Amino acid sequence: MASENPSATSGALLTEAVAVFKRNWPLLLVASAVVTLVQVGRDFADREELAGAAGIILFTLVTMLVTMGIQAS
Amino acid sequence: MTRSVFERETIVAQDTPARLGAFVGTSVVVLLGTMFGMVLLIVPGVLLALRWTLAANFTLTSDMRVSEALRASRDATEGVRGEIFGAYVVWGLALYGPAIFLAIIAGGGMESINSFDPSSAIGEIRVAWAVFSGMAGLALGLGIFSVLVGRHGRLSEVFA
Repeated sequence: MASENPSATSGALLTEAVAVFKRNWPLLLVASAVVTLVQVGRDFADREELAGAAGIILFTLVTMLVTMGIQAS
Repeated sequence: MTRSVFERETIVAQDTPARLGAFVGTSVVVLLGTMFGMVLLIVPGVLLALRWTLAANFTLTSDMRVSEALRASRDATEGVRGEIFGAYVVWGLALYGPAIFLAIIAGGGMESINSFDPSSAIGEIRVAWAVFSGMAGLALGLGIFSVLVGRHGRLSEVFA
């Protein structure tokens, strides 16, 4: 099952990534915005000491779950 | 989102099963494995990250368990990990070059950027850039999977 794709150069991978970005940017924007907002919220809570250490760990876990949930959807 | 994009890109058919539990499990294994590899002087972490870079996507496009997805990613990236690494480096430089520039302007390195209030001017730029970086990172992962496994790779025969 090894890859035998001769066109898989770094340039080809980047070109395809740009094409995927152009075709799907609204979906990517929503996904990235939600994840970023959760991360900003966690950083803010951490900086302002709104939550204790346990709260930040919980927030981090929630961030991970949100990220995975969005990626899987 | 990943699954939706794969369906839009016709990399996977809508009725193809996906294992969400395997996706979470694979993501955790890849994260922990890469972190452990990074502790061992970074290089093993990079090698593991390259080897398993497609694993989570395999669980969303086929009925694979964690171990099967890790194996499939290892096989699909064999012989092209250098190219994948090159793509990540170029992508990273393009994305984080401006952030480094911003850090220099802010005059305190990356710490100064990270400490900005999100509602400040530079803070808002930073948040917007984080969103864009996230979009770009997702697109690169999807693009690599598309080339190596999807429309141009192994699955292309299925959709031919």
